Amino acid sequence: MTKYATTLSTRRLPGGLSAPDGKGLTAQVPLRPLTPETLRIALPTERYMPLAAWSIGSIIKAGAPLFMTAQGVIQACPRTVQVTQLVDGMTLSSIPERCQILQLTVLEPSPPTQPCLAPLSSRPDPADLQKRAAEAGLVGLGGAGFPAHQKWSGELHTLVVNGAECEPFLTADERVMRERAPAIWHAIDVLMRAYSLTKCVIVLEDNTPDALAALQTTHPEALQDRDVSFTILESRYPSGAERQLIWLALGLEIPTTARPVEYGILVHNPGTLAALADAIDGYPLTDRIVTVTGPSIISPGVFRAPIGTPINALIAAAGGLQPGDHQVRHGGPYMGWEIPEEAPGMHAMTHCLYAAPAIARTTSPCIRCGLCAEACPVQLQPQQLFAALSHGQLDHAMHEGLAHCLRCGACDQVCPSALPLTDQFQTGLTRQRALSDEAKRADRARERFNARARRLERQAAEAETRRHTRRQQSESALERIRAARAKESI
Amino acid sequence: MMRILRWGPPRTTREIMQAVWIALVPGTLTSLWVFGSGVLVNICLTAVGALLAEWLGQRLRGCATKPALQDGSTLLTAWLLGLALPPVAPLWLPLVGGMIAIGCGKQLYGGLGQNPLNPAMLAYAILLIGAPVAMTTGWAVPFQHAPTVTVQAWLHGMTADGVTGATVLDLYRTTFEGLTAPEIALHPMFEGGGFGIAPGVAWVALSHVVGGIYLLSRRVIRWQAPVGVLVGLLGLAAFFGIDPDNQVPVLTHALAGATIFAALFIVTDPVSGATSPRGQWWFGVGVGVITYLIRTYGLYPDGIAFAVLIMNFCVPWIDQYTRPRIHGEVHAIRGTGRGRL
Repeated sequence: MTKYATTLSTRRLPGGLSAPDGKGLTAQVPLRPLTPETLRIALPTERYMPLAAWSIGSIIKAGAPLFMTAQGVIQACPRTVQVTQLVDGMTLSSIPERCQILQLTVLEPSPPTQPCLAPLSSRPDPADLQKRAAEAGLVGLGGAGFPAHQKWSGELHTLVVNGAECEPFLTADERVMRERAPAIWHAIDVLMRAYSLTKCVIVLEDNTPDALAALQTTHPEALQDRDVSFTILESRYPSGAERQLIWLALGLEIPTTARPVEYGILVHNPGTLAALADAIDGYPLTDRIVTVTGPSIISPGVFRAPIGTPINALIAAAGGLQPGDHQVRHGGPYMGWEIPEEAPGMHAMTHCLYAAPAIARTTSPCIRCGLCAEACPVQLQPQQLFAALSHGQLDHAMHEGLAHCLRCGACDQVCPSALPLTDQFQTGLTRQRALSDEAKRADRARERFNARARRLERQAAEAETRRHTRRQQSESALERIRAARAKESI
Repeated sequence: MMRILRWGPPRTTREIMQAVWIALVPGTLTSLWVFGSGVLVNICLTAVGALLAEWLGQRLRGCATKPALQDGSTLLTAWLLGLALPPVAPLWLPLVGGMIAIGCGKQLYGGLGQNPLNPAMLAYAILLIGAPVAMTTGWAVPFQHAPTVTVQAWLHGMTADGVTGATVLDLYRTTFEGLTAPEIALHPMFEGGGFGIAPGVAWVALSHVVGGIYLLSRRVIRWQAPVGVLVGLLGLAAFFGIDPDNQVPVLTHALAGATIFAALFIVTDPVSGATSPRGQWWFGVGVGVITYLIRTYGLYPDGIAFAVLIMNFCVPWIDQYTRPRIHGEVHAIRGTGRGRL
């Protein structure tokens, strides 16, 4: 058995945190399947197309399509369920929005046992693969939730498997790599052949040797002749962020304004790859692996749970919360955010629930000590951004590079004044987006107005020309008649 | 107490301030040994003035007074100003100085973190302009003090001959005009030194270095600003100071006056200084160069306070041009790849 080349990355993130990892809480606990009694699935806030009858009382089979999002991704029903009701709620996201939640009662606890879609051949062509990813509901499981099939375009040459789960306490990806290594290899094989990728780099952090071993012992014969290698990173937060990972593993800096695929690099989370392997076999995305952890959880663990599993059910499955005042966050301790009231159940991007004692942090004014700038992985000057934003100077903050902020929260961790830096940046970026949308709308309106004005002008000019030619014609006709009469009179 | 003595970068604003307190201890003790108890009286009186102004300012602005008084920054400003003032000054001088530092230098701008100028240096400069006699004749002659004499000097005004005198840089400006280097070296101020080193003030400067190393090792300050000051000031001093008969020697520039103290404790003030490492370097160089110019051509024997204030004005401009390159910033694709793979 040949082992792939395994290299240590010599590059280092500017800034970042070398944090105590907290992964030990859940890394060795066996995976537990979980099926709750009810599911709460959020319907998209954008336009979508319902694909099932969800009048109250109707029964939907496991794996049957539920709805199609604006991006063309079809969400499958995770279990055989009966529709209970349709309620209003808030989306499970860092900036909650109003949404509708489909409340379902689970009738059969098992996921689909038969393929719901026709299995693809082991050498699917790109068009089939793209179609399959969309109909199997495949989105990036790393946290961004970007539809997978939309990444597979243009001239691709490198596949980067992002197994660097840099945030403390998170073990979902590590667990996927350990449990589903053959599926991950299968998906790598299929992707490399379908898109003629020349290179595959699997990136791991140095604190997940079990995942590395699992992948190395299961590599398939089919990939023997391909350029597949492992890169091991020093575990440092946030080395698993997409652009940071590409820089550390390949030495290539992708501009913030571009997506890596524009440079031919395809980055996938191991969970997404395992889900792709399932999709090829005909199983849509119905479940995902979630870490439920943190100092306030009684028995932290890793669960395979269907999409839509209520947050409470996940917490309860992990033994519940310790007595006292606790805060449950979606995501890890750094990038996570507080779960809103009336939240739906977990979605495909829920990799972790993290609970910790609620501590009221007393803030003090910023003294520009610069510790945040030392921690920033993209070398921003958070103290300057914060000052600009707290004075309402959004333009200045953008000039200082606000758009490059990863919202990784490293600055929050080191700030001696305990300032909510990332929150402020998120708010600023949201406002900037709203402003630029508004500017775009205004531009479009102006464009429409100008187009109309031009059209009216053109029509008027045309009418004028027509009138002119008619007058000329009639005048020349009169001229002829006069000439003829003159002739007659002679 | 254990929290105060913790190693590693500080976790709260208060810890930052306390780290600077600790760093000021060796220099303060040496100052007491060299200049007498007047130093301690100065620090106490500036502290009283500063805390009063802070309390009043917070009250007038409708802000909580307790956290502001407890964050340690006011006491730090007072301590820095106390060390900078002449040790045998009239009692009102440090008291007023502390009030100006916090009242005008900090509270007028909106309290902690909002001041564009270094409060201690602002107060020093205002006192130097407003009370030039008290500010220049109150310097104790090193090792010539007895505590009681110093107290009498305050009680009976400024006429304590033999106890007060000019500073080293003052002497160069006034008394040493026309003297050669060997003649200058005979002055009692340089007794026991050499190469232009006045032992009394040199000891104080070296003790401040100990505090500075502590701050550097705890990552409270960066090296760029202090080194920038020394490079800017001593570079010029070394270049033009080849002739010790007419120019102040390099070592006098380094170890007399407020050079080391300001380089480590004033120029490194994060609030009023430049913010990125590269910016701090140029901020320091600017302070060093302007200090040299004022010391050599200006009206005052030591111009570091003015140099700091002038550079404080330049901070937004420095920050603008020294911002580090952001990872992923437009155009460039940096690294081994150089473009597409």
